[in-house]
Amino acid sequence: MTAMNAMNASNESSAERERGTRPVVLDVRDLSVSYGKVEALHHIDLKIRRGEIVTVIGPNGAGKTTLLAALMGLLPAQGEIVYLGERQGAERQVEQLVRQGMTLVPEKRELFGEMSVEDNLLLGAFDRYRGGHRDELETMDQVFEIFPRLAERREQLAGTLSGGERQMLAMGRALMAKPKLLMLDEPSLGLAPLIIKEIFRIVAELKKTGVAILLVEQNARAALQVADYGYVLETGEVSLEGPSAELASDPRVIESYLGLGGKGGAAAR
Amino acid sequence: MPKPFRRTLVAALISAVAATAASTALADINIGVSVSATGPAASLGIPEKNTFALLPQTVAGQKVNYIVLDDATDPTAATKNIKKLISENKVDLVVGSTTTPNSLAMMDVAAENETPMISLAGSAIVVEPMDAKRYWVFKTAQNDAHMATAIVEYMTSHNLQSIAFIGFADAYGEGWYKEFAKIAEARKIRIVASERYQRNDTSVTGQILKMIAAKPDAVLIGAAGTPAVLPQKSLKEKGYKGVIFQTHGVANADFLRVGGKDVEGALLPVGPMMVAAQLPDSYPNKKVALDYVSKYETAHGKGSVSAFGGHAWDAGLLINHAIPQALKKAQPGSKEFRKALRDAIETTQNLPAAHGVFNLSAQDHQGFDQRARVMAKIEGGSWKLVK
Amino acid sequence: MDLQIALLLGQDGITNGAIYALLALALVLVFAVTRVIFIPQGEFVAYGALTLASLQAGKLPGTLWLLLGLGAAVALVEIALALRTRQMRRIPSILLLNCGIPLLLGGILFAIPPATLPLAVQVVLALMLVVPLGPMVYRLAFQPIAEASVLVLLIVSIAVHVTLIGLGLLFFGAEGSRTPAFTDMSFEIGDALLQGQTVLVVVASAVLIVALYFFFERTIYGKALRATAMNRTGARLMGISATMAGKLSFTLATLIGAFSGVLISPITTIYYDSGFLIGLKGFVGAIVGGLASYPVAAAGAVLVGLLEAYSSFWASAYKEVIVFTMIIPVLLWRSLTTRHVEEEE
Repeated sequence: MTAMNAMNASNESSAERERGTRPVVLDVRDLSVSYGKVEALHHIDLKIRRGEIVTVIGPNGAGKTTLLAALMGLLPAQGEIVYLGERQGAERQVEQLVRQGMTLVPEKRELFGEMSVEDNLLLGAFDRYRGGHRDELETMDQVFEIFPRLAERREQLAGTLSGGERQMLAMGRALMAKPKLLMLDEPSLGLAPLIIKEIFRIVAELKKTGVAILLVEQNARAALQVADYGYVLETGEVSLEGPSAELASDPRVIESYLGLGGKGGAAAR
Repeated sequence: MPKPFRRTLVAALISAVAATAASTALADINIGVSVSATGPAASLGIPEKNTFALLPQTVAGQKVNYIVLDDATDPTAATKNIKKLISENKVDLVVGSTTTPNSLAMMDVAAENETPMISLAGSAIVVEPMDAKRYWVFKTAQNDAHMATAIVEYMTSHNLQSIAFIGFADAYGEGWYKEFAKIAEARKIRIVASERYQRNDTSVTGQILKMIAAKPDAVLIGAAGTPAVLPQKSLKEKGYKGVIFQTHGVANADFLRVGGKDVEGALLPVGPMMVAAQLPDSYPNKKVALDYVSKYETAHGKGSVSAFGGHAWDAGLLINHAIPQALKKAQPGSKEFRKALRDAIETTQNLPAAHGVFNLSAQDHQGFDQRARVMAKIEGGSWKLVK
Repeated sequence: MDLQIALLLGQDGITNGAIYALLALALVLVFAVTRVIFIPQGEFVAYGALTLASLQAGKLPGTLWLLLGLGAAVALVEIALALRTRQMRRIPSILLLNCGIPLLLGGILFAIPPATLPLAVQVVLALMLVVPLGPMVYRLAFQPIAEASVLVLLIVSIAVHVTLIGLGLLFFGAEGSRTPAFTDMSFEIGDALLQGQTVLVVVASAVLIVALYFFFERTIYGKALRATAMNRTGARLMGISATMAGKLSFTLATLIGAFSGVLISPITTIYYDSGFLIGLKGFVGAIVGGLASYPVAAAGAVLVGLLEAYSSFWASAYKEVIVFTMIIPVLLWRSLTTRHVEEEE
């Protein structure tokens, strides 16, 4: 535990140094979302910079998935969202945001089950293709480099893949759009520990390409290990925030999300 | 189509309103008309509607107003029309409607209000069997039986002994089959196949093959309008070489347009009007028929005349013939005048009309005889009299 | 029934079945992508046939006025939306697409008497007049309620069907039309005579089906449509908008419908209301395929064609009864064998 903290601490210092200088990709101020009369998210403030992994942790039902849906334009929201320096209008459309380089890997993966792995990836580049880009094959090769398992399965139907492969495919499909902001919803959900480790290793590596990553996780331990900055979301409100290392050593976080059993995700569930 | 129609309708309505306002002083005669100028029977109803504009405006010194309404081939609308004509326009007589179902629907209202009615529909059930309701109803179109006998006569004189029938799977097809089967049986003609099809069918191959397999001397197609093209086309395609009869329900220009060379050679009974110019000068109604044809074609263009407009013209002739006699008995607009009009129509004798010669009686409210139909053949895209 | 009759009936059944199969594919496509049961499909069959017939008769087809009217309506809606969201630069392209092109088409028809053009050009003109109606109808009638339940979409679909039938009567009149055959060729096979036009229908349908297969399997737009049908949310996240998918599927369905109309108009007389029954038989085929499987739907449609041909031989008065009663055992069988699929995600 102490060793890990030390490692995080060293990460944190470099992260903190860079955090102030990098351009802000997404700046959310005072965001609220309601389902009918019930307000699911209250006055959320959130900031993500280029090449940074920001995680949102919290218990089941805290509003984490709602937050991503609102950011992606799938749900109407009140408040101010500034994306790539531009204030978003009230009629945010998913399609428009995709065009601007925002992608979401949803919790349910939402793959095209009766299509091959290759076709799923190809459709990830649909919007770029429509916009006149014809580099989908090169992009696919890059994705295969990141996920060699997918290259082996390229002819296989997405519906027949294992859980880990499905998650890889969902992430690979999102990367096909060459995103500026990649949002991952519970990438570890339902996966075996070894696979989780692999997935998070890849997430950490993706950071190097300069993409901003918003990582929503119940598996707080794994998330805080790869993230630069974290928010704790509880009953629709941000209860805590700070550099990951600070959060990881915060007694309240340890108590609620890390402490018990030491198995991370299992504790939060 | 709709614009000129609306104009005539508006004109008719204005004149009708003007007429009712001044009815006490001038005592105009008002004739209500309901025809199917739109809907599936539009190609029949439009020439009928056009014909009323050609009828004389004054008869025996009295002004005659025709108030023409459209019932869109819908029996409910036809009922509404006749109720309106009787209660609001106070008409002395009603003409209509184009189709048998519409005419049957209107008949009840006419009888209830003791207003004579002249139907333009084909089926004999509009005037048969004679009863209290049909007491008020007349009809100018030939009965199917008139037409069916023409076919049977042609068959016996040309030694054709067997026939296969294909008709609409509805009242028209069934009606024709029944009439024809009755007469054919009496004349010892064998019906070797009886098939049905829908107006909207895209193929009748199955029926046609079955009919050809029965090796009939002739085929009768019991269908009306352009849907009657399909069986004849299929018969030709499948190599049938026998005689093909159509019914008078196809006697309009649309049938020739759609059928083209596929319907060449078909034989059909028609009203003499359709081939008026080819009739011998001695034919009793040649002059009257030619008169109507030339009037209609002057107004609507060469080749535009159809059998259906002729039925409307004949209704006009019956009315005009009856008016002088009725005027002697009562004033227009009264119950007595309507009864007198009815009585006068029922006693019409030897009145040559576009489609035949009228000889009506208390039992026969149609009044045509064998002179009301001739056999015609489709040749070179027009109707040729078979002598 | 001897062999020759059986063969002739089979040939007839396959010809009609090929058309039904095309329509069944279009119905499955539209339903899978938009959840709309596309009842007006049949009207586009009639519009395609009658527009071609009007052009050949040297008349200005009424569908031109419908195209101009719908185009103007779509332009109005889109411009209002563009003004509201302050996207002024979209306005010229909206006007060009929805008003300019139809006006140009109208101008061409006025300038060149269409009756004198070669048949192939007339066919292309007829398709250009009819096909844009599909996406326009989608924009006006279905896009605003794209998220509504299947039942609401069905009701709107019926309303569109009734409206288009009424307009068909207004444009083309109550009487039917036929167009001359594309080919007068005929082949003798044994005693049977095989019409060139019949062969053409089957071949053209087969080519179109193969073309559709390639579109869905080999092109990114085709894959995008399939993706929308499989997983609407997933497709949206890829930037495949439901609106684009809807318009594309309606365009394809209308193209298939109008083209079917052009194919069968030399074989049979087409009336303003003929399309409904033809479409309905395609629908029976699509139902056999559970509105989901393309090959099963196509096979079902061919089966409908064959059933129709043979029943018209054995019991012509009950032909329609037999064809439509076929739905009942199929539905029964499907409801027993397939698990219930939730309609909304």
